[in-house]
Amino acid sequence: MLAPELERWSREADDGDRRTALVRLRGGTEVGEAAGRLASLGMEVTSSGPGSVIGTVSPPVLRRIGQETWVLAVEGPRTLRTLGHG
Amino acid sequence: MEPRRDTVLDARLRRAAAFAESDLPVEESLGARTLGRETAPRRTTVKLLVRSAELGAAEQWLAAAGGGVVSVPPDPDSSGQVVVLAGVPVSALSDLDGQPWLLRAEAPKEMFTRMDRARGPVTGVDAVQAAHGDLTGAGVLLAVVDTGVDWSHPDFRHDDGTTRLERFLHAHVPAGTEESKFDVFDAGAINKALNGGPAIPTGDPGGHGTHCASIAAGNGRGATDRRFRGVAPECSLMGVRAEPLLDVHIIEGIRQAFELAGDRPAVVSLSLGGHFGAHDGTSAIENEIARATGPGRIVVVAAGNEGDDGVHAQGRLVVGEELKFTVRVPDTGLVFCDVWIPRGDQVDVFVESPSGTRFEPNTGETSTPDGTFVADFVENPVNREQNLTFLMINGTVDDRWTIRITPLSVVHGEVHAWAGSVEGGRLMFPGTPVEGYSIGMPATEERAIAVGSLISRNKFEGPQGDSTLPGLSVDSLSAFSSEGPTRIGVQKPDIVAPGQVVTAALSAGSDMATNPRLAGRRHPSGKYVTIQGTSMATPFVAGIVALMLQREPRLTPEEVQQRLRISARRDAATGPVWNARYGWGKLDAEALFRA
Repeated sequence: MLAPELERWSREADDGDRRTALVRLRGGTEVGEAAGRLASLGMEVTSSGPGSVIGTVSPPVLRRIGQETWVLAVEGPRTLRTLGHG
Repeated sequence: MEPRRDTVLDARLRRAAAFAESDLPVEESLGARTLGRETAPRRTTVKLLVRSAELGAAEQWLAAAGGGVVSVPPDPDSSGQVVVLAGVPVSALSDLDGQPWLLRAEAPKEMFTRMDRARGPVTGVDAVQAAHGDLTGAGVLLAVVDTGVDWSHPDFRHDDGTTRLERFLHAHVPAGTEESKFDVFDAGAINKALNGGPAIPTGDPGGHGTHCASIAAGNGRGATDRRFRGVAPECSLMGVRAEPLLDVHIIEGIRQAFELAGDRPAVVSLSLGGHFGAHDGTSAIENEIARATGPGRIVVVAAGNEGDDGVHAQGRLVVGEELKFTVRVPDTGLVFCDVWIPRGDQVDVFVESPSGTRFEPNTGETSTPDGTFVADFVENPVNREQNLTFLMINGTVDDRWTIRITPLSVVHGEVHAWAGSVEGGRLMFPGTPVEGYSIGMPATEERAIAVGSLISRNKFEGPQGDSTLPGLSVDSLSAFSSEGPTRIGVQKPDIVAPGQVVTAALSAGSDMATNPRLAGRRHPSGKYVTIQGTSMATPFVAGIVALMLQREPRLTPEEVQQRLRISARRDAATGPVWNARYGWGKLDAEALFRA
């Protein structure tokens, strides 16, 4: 359930490295409880809302999150772009 | 050749003065019609730039010449010079040119429409607001989540100079880290910064978000006649500076906007998007929009500018036939390609380099003489579909990489691929017809109001005066406006609105203010700029939604979509039903608020 880029990062980065990750929750998971559990796993939660929790993780924390059964997917941030056309 | 320095009349007044002194009949003289009339006028209104201390001398001359002052500013001594509007006999123009108190004289200039054009006959917003003077967006929170909002710009300040922004969120990734930080500044902090107090981050170094916010909700204070005011000039505002434009920054912006709104209705305007993902409403940002919206909570999203870019390809799996997508390496040397294969179809997938070597995916970073790539073939945990992602750097421009898919068994068989590069990319799949599916995410989310771009005018006022953009046919679709439907058949865009071209607020010191490419698009005031895109159409609709929510604060996204749909203007170009380019038709505010 870890996105391939995050999975690669968790293998290659040092344990002290940190990056932003977005945790998608399975249907029925209560967001507040999920955010609390993610914090207890070591995630520094910066935002939580319907369906997902955003925060900072280290490689060991990311691997622990990936084992939680109520986690649907863990993704890295995706870059969007503005839609002005010059 | 040296330029003339012996006159202060502008060219049109000089020609009119020359005609007045000639014996030419009207029909043979360009100067006779130079003031924009069918017949030569005997008297014209001119703008005179006069030294304040010599205003009396100007008034005396005008009276003696048979003319007179039409208007002067209420406080002419507040600066060293003053603009006087005056009636002047055409026969006196030559004499006017020699007056020592005169710094400059200009003929009346026809002002081409800008936001007023977008608000005018094209959409009917002016008519709506003339009929319903209280329809200004008051009581509604409008958030622009983008590159920021220039909180110092006059269009986002009250008449007393205080900020109209209730909150300014700076979502950023500090240098040397990969951690997003969210810094929140309330109106008090912004007002202190405006008054020389503790500094807060610059509002909008990019300039894009300021332009969008101005279209939706600027109050037009940056111009004396407020002609560049936005659609909902009295709504409450929140600005988000997302730096970079990461989906996590946008998601947090949406969350904070709806939290800040409290019991009030709120609309979020997103003039951004991308093509890296499933295009089916299951990405994190689409999911956020689906879940966070509801009664009085609306998100409006730009459809995208890839309508004629060729960023999409599709094919059908047939057992015994190989399906291949050929991807071109653009100027940047960087390519991403995202291929979606339905759940249940069994396939083998390979990546083939330009020199013909085949690689299996999921083998990590691979260096080749043709470039370095990573190819992952995974089942997406959210929608359970099969996804090949291919990212390649250091490629040779115009080389062709090939994604080869061999079907083993087929249940569904419809495969879609999107490709791009830094800042988009063009003609990524050589030889592939451009056939829709260019709506970007998150406009693909069903509950988002997805907006395409309509050409609302082809003239604007630039630094050298009025400019015309050739080849633009007013009231037709912008060529760049992305086409639907989505990969799973959702009918997007919902509607098209003015996006080409729009004059709106220019963020001071921003890229837009300094980029030489936009030099010809800046308004003489220095406070506005003319640009285009579905980015511009989106806040226009967001402003309209703010007006709808002012009247009916509990409207749901589906109700907003339905009202836009049933009131949209349809013609021969749009057809009678939804179509992939125009959606349900052209925004018609008059019909919308009449209903």
